[in-house]
Amino acid sequence: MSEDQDKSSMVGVNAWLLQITQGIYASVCQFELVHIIDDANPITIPKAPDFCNQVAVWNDHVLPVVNIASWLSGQAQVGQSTIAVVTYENEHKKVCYGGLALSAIPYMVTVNNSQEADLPDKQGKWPSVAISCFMVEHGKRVPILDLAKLFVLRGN
Amino acid sequence: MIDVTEYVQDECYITSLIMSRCELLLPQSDVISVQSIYDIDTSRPHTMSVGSIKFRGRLLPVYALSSELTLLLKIPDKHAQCALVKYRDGEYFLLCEGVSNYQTNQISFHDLPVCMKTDTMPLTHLALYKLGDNTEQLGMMTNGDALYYSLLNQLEVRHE
Repeated sequence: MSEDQDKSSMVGVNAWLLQITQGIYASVCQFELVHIIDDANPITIPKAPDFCNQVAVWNDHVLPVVNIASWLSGQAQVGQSTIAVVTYENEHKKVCYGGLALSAIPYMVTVNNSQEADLPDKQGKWPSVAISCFMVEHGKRVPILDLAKLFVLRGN
Repeated sequence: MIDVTEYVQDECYITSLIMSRCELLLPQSDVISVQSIYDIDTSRPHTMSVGSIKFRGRLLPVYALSSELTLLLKIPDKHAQCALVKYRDGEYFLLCEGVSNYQTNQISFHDLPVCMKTDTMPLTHLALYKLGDNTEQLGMMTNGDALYYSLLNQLEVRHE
């Protein structure tokens, strides 16, 4: 690692800290979160899997809303009234938008390499949708989401 | 899932069936006729249907769906119309609150997101359009075949 790279890794980068539900956190890079819909009123899509059975309409886009808490637990979840609108490039390099169901308004944190940590559940589901993980105050482990992988999860 | 992208684009009109909090959209050519709820004969229902209607000499099943698109055994409140829907091998009636038509050029079609697809998903697209008061409405695009196979899947599951 060059001296410049070493300095930048210690200075840190900005990321959004997302509270998925009580005790479950995730993060996306500063530029991946483009909007926050508070007090969201998403529309339920019949026959869709529990972890992604709602959409939100934003700027003429129909956004699939992924509920990571539901995906992790395999059960429907309620009480998440905030949607983070995120953007990512899919496998065909097309810019896509999606929504993440949250239980609180996201906030920005600065992260550096010294905060690197193991995923909350290395053997479980997280490795399939997380690039890596860092630790913040009170020992919270925060996976960094790979949005392109998250939005192609299948229900069956 | 059946891909109907070209099928939809060739249609000038889309028929909307309102079911509780769900608005189903089908190519207009898949909806042959609309009958009244008073035409239903409840004495000889087909399996999992709420009754049947005689149409051109044949008794066709009348299915009722919840807003989650699951089969119901009773006629839901406010459902006063029966849309005759055709599929590859025949026809069936679908109970709904109301039927209306939209021109396809009033509608913006969106692919169903990958993470929403399941083996039993009857929806092919999500459709965004504006009502007269300029409020946005989201419809669920399907077609006679996809809907029938979803019904058939539920019938088979309940028989197991």
